[in-house]
This record gives sequence, structure tokens and C-alpha cells, in this order.
Amino acid sequence: MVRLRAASGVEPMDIKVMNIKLSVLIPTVLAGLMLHQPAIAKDAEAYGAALIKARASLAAAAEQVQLWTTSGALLKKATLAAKEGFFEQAIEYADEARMHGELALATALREKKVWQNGVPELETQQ
Amino acid sequence: MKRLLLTILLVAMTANAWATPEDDRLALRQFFSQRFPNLDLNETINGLYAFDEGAREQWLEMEDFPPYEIAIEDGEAAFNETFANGKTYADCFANGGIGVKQDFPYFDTDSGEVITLEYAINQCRTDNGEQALPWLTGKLAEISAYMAYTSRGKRMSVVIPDDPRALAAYESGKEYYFTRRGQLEFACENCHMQSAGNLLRADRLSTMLGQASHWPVYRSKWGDIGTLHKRFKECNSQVRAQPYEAQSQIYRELEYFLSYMSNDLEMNGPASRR
Repeated sequence: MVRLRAASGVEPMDIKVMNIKLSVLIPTVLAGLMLHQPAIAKDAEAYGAALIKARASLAAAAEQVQLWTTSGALLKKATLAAKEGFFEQAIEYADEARMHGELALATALREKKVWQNGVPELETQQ
Repeated sequence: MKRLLLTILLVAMTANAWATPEDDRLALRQFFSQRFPNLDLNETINGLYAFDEGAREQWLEMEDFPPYEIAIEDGEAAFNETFANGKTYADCFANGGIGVKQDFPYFDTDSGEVITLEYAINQCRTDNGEQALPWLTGKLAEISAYMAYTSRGKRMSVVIPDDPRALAAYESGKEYYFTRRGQLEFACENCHMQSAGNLLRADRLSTMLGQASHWPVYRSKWGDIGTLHKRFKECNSQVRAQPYEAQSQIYRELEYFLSYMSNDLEMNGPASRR
């Protein structure tokens, strides 16, 4: 029986056991990677869709001369998170940016109807 | 009969839309007279110092050696510089640019645009082959400060000519002033009419009346002299609304409206504020 001692000080391991472990581990890792690829692509796709929606929402708000200072930062955060592969987080940021755009647009449309309520009117002396 | 009643109702609902700029100005004065019965409206040109006695004392002491004094001197020197083509700023303005600030902004019927003083200064430069200056601070603000200084004591007299485009520009500025915006959903009016005189943290909010009489301003917060559009940008950012470019059409129209509201008040620029 050959005994191996790892340089890092790992406990000696039976080479047969190691062979068995590797024969299980390698296919498992490969299979995992193969399965993970479509998942990443799906996440990236979902992020892309969220980003498109966010941009459209912000463009609509900008058209009404109403944008929040917070939206741009959220889009930046979304892009950064996506670059690093954190798609779930990136989608969250993009969705938040979209909501900011929607709320800004809602304010703009409402204000078009009510802004004059604040204008003082000249009261004539009785 | 129904139709007549509906028309009357619509007329009543849109009465504000038909108010003339002069109606608006008088209504605003009436609003502040009722809101602050003991306040001399001519004092509104001093912003928060019209309300806050303690702050006013500090400000008056600071006025002994005003922080904008250097800007006036530098502005005068810059104003008197000769362009490469031999012309000067004086050639671009009525009365050689002395004592004219009270007439700004004005509506230029040729271009169909609102022309603010800073816009005119840069227009003068580019018309004479010089590069435009940055809008917010620096040399442009200094020249503006010097020109404002030469108008001290005069009465603000912004004119809205008989031109539908001028009225549209005024109305656009008015709409901007009264429209809520930003994540905090604040209109300029919310602070400077409804809450004018109230404390916002340590400072009292100034009234809309008199807000355009004293620019440019040396703000301690900035540590520099800056233009009114710098303040517009700052106000927008404070309510988390995306600010516009200085001297953009919308800001020039806002200044047009705001300045008309201060008509007949004394010019007292440049000024210092916290």
C-alpha cells in the first residue's frame, strides 16, 4: 500500500480512495458547469430585459422634464453587478430604477393637471 | 343651458391660466402681505435676513467687509478687458453695460429667446471671437457681479413684450416654479411660498418675492461667488430632481418668471448668503 502525504500537511490518503474520489468529482464538476451555463444565460437575459424596461421608463420620465437624481446611480449599480455576474442583484437595481422612472412620470402627469393650484390669485377688495 | 354652465365652470377652473403676469405679481405681493403682515415687502430682497434677527445681525457685520468684494474688483477688471478684435463688453450692452442689470432677463423678439445677463455676457464673447466662459462660477460670475453692482439701488424692471412667445416663455417658467418634482416631490413654491420664513434645519427659507434681485451671490457654503443658475441646479438636486444645464432654455424661462415677480424691488446684488 502506497501512502501519500500532501505537501500542505493534509492527512495521508489512500491512493485508491483518491482515485475513486476524483472519478466522481471531475464528472460532477463538469456536469455542474454544463448545467450552470444555461442558468447564467437565462439570468443575463432576464437582466437585459429588466434593463430595457428601466431605460424605457426613465426615457418617458425625461421626456416630461422629470427625472430623479437617484435613477442614474441605480443603473450604474445594475451594470456593475451584472458585469460581476451578480444578475439577481443587477435585476433588483434595474427594477428599482424602472420604478423611479414610473413614479417620476406619474408625478409629471399629475402635476400637468394640478400645478396651477399653488398659484396665488389676486383677491379684490370688498 | 348645461353647456353654458359647463363653460362658466371651465372658465372659473382655468382662471389662473388667464391671469396676466402683472396679476400674478400683484397676487404674489398680496399673498406675502397677508402671510407676513408685519414684514416690509421691500425687505424680501435680503432673503432669510428679512425674518431672522440674529442671522441678520451677523450678516450686517459681514457686510462691513463683504466676501463678494474681490469678485466685484476682479469682475470690473475683466469687464474692461479688450477682446482680440479690439472690442469690449461695453460695446455689447446698452449704456456701456453700466446699470443695466435691472432690465435682465429680457425677451429677444428676434431670436425668440429669453436672454439672461450671463447669457448676454457669453454671447458678447462668442460674437467677438472669444471662448464662452463656464456658467456657474469664476470669471463669468465675477463680471456679472460687477454689472449687478453698477445697478444697485435701481428698481427691477423686467418687461414681457406684447409677443405670444414671450408670454409662453413666462408661463413656462411659472409652470416650472409651481410643479412638484424629484424624489421628494417638492416644487420651488413649496419652500419659498408655503414654507417661506419657516426653519429648514438652521436657516429660514426666503420668500419667492425678491429672490432674483441680488444675484450673483457669495455663499459661504460654496466658498465662492456663483450665479443664480448654480442655485437652481442646487435646489433641484436638493429635492433629488435631475437638474438642467445652466442657461438651458427652461432655466432661463424660470429666471424670467422669477425676475418679473420681483419687479419694482430694489436691486441689491451681488450679495452674501450662508
